[in-house]
Amino acid sequence: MRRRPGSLIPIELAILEAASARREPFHGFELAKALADADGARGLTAHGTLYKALARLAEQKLLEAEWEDPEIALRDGRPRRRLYRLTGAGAARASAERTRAQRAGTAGRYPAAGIA
Amino acid sequence: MTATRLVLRWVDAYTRGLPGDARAARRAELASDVWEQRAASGDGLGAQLALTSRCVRGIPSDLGWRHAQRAGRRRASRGSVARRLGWAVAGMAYAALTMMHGFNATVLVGLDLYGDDWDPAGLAWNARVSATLLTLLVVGAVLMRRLPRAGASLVALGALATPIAFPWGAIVYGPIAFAVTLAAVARAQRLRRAQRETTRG
Repeated sequence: MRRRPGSLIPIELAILEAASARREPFHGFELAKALADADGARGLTAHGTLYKALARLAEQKLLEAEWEDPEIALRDGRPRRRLYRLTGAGAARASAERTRAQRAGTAGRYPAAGIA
Repeated sequence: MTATRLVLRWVDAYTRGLPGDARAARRAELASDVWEQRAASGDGLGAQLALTSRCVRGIPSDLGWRHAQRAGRRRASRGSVARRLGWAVAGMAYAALTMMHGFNATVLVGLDLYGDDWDPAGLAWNARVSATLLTLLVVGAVLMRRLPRAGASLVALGALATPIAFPWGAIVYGPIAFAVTLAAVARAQRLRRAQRETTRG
């Protein structure tokens, strides 16, 4: 089924919620850990699910992504991270979705159905 | 085969044939994710199974993402053809307008069709200025792909100088020059963004 333009699925809402709780930019694995910690029963989000959702949120300008300075990765002896940060539009959307969820009586959680 | 190799091979497989920047970005992002997970959980059997599970559960989304990338590229390609056609038509119209001055100077004056009311030296000046401005536009347009800012500056200079050089035609040249300048600036920004993305990826 084709999604309505601008609509968000549960994993995207959960990412926005997790991102709005962070001040610093975050990378994919860090986010997967945060999502798993927020919902103890679930394992780490699948790669495909996670990065497809991140790409879609970045496309909608709710998140912005930039590659880490290669010097930092080199110094730490690991691959470069792609860092994501919530945009102003993303923060506003997260807040609106939180209000909507509170009104619907599902405050602070998004249905896990559909999150691989 | 270790779980890490499985994940990286799978990324190689489903990004094959995609544009270089999208492929490189996805591979680099997954390489980073796998490294982070190994650093956090180690290489034990449980960790390997968790990594494999993340990879396998994500396969439908990976394929969906690949499909979206290819569809997006096809749409962009169609848009690019339309944009190029638009540029070609606008360029030809502009060239036709500026060449009219050259035509005036070389042919009509040569045939003495203007009579004594027209100054051949003035028309020759028009032709030289037209040729200079046209050269600026063409060189700027060609240069823009490699040096977007410099190319856009030349195009803007060539376009904006036209209504100044030929004030009697400002009503025609003015809006065209303004539109050409805006289009050149927008194109330069797009190209610079694409260049930055490629460098980062």
